[in-house]
Amino acid sequence: MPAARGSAAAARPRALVTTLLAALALLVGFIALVGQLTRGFEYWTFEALRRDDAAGARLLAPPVALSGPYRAASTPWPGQPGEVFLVDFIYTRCPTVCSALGAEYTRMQRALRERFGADSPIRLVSIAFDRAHDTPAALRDYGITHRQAPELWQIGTPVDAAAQETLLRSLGVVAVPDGMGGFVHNGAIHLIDAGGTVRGIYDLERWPQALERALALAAAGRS
Amino acid sequence: MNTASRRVPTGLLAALPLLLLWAPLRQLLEGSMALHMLVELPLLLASGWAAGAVLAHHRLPAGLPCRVDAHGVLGLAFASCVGALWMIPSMLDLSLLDAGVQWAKYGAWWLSGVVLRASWRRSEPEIAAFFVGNMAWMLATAGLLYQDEEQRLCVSYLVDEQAVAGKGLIVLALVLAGLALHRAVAAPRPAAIQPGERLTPDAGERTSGMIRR
Repeated sequence: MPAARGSAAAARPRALVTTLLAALALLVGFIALVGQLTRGFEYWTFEALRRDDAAGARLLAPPVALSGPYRAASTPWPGQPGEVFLVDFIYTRCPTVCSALGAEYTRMQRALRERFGADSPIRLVSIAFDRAHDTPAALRDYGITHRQAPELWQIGTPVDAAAQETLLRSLGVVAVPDGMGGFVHNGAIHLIDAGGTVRGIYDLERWPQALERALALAAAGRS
Repeated sequence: MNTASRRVPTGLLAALPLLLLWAPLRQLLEGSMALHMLVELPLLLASGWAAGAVLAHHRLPAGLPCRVDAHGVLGLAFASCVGALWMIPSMLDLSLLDAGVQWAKYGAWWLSGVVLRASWRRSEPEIAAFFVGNMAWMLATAGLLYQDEEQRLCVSYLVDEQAVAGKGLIVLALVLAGLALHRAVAAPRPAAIQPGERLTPDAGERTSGMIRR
């Protein structure tokens, strides 16, 4: 069947050309997808994407009910225009980063008191996520250790697991058991405006920049 | 083992992803970075491969059409893209935090297994070795990065787990490099073709893996 053989032979180069074009289209699509997922090949980790979301005001913190060391209260957002909140996530048994965060919060609290007295537009919020151990008594001890002034610094834990899941998921805060009874988590300072939008995420050692940005946001909100 | 007795484990392997509907197993496999990258993802690929065999046995479509997958190029490229995509740290985290991404991951790896089976059979040794070699190189690069990075690349995993996963990726890269080499070297060679002698089109299909001159 020479005719059939000839048409099969002609089909092979055609198939190769179609295949190469399809592979090229796949490659272009793949590069475009990766470009989109990494926002222009710039952010390759979840944390980098999260911080970019915060910088672009695309991260929203839903208000949730908190139980504190002395009484229950909601998250302070939504608040009045010009109010700004510096929020961190802790667990009270944490021997490392949370203690350091507590110490930095003590310094920020002092700076706010010196500048605004008790009526500060910027308030500090520490949200404890180890629900099994962050009891009101543990939160009280944490506050006492770090000389917490309740009018400037709110400490609390979400009232139930669902509220905690809602808040942490929305912000992309992930706490992973460290295998020694504690947690490893993306512990950073979240700058949240009166509407609950995260406006920046700052590493612990960059707390002065976080405070400076909070002051600028508060001033802009009041003007 | 005869064909019928081989069919049962193949069918079971093909249906393996259904077990991922059971949350405790999912959490076990995805709770460790090494298990996630070195057990769950390859198992999904193997399951897709087995599903391809089941589909082919029932004369159902079990791969890309020949007209767009000459020499298995498109299928091998697709599997390489899926592999590369899930080496990105943010994708691993998102697959744990976003249900849509999670099921897209299962689907993509399973589907790439189905496609890969047919394309692998169509591919010639050099082409297969090229794609597998590239995958090995990519895994080794990702493995070295995961092993040496002191910061956590995934918020869902500890640095220690990241280092273990990195070592595992390097081992997997070496295994794949060995496979690529084996496929290239151990492939059957055609007998010397006399001048004027031509391979028929049918022979070309039957002698997958031969070098045509």
